[in-house]
Amino acid sequence: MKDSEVAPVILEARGITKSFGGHEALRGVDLAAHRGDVVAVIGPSGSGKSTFLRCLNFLEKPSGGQVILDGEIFAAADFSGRSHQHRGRLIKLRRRVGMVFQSFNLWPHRTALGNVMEGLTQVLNMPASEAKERAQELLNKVGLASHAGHYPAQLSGGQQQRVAIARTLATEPEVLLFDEPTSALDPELVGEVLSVIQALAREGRTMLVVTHEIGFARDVATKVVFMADGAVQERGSPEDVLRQSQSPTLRAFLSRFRQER
Amino acid sequence: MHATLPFLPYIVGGLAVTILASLVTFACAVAIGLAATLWMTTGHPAAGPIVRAYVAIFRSLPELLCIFLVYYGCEIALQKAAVSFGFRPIPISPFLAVTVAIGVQFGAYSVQIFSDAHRSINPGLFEAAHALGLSPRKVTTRVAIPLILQAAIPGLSNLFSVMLKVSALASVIGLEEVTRRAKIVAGSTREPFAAYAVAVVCFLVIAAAAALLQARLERSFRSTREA
Repeated sequence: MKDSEVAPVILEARGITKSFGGHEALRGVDLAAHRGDVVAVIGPSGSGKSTFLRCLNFLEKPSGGQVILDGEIFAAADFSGRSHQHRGRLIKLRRRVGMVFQSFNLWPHRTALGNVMEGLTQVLNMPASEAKERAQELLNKVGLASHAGHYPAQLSGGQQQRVAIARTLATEPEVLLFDEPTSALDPELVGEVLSVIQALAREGRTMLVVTHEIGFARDVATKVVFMADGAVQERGSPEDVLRQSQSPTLRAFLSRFRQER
Repeated sequence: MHATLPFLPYIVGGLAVTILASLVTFACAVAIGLAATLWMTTGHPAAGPIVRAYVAIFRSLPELLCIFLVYYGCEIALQKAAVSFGFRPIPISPFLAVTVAIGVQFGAYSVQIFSDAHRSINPGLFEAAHALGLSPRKVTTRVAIPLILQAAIPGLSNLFSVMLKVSALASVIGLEEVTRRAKIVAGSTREPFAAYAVAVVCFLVIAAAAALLQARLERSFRSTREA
């Protein structure tokens, strides 16, 4: 028995579906993350893994299914249409589930420090002086204390992504979602971002990471989920999924990666 | 030229009216453009058709026609109202008429500038704000408006320089801006060339000042975008 199997479930997805027009991008995805889990979601592009991740904080509104955060149910049906009724709940969900994007999405009109402070002052309503101190600590944590005054355009991709991680950590979310956090980076910059993510994993944070880094999935993840065609094809421990699985789709997917590397 | 010289302060004094009218009109146009653009981004079903109709109508009308319409239209409306409700008719201020007419009309152009600016912004920047848990209102004020304004600077500067010139049309309803005063002086001194030359210099000077300001604004924003 692993720790992850005893810890309580913090984030659960039940039967998440999503269609864009006639195209069914997700066909009923179930997933449960226990506290402290690092779930790596792998799969070929177009398999729906990013869409699934974006459904978990309703950045993409699921067509059906439920997201359950620490027992609180957020049903897709509640958020259909333009109803303002559930808007407040959505904001609460997003405060507790942080997201890091593939293309960083730092606000170009604010410095690194300003980007990190935003969640502190505007979401947690922290006074500016306190927020500044806290933001500086967070930048320190991702190794960018000396870059606080830099604008995003003055930072490398790897540095921008680390600032983005600090920005997400600021509101102290209980679950972190990473949407291909290293896919937009030059190969030599991937390592610095992965090591920050790895350090967060060691702190026991609950994380879902959509990634193409099979090595990261193998070394850091507690669970690996393989998605293809908008559904989960395989799931289990890294060993089970990455080594023991007999699924031909998964074998074909993994062999493509071995050739590349 | 000698006859014009004593009137120099009078003509140049019209600059205050020209600049004030242009600034107020510009502020009016910017407010309309920004509000309409933000309304469209809410996805309200009525927003698209209404804003598009507004833009289509006011882009097609000559500025002069709008000024006449507002000035004389309001005058007649006020007179009728005064008669039926029994109060003394209030004269319409040409300044007000011009700022409303041109402000509303150039609002249509500024809608286009702002919606282009909005389209040029990476939607991921808004998503990042939503994902952090910012309320929709804060996403608008903290992220959308600053980025839209920044992206709109070149277009807005261009619009302002056009508005400076269009403000001269206000002279036809008696607003004493530079052009109107030059015309008055030209009539009394019989030196039209000298009087209008002073007006020309006035416009060149404010246009140059506006261009300088634009360059400064763009430079200060560029420094945040480039290493």
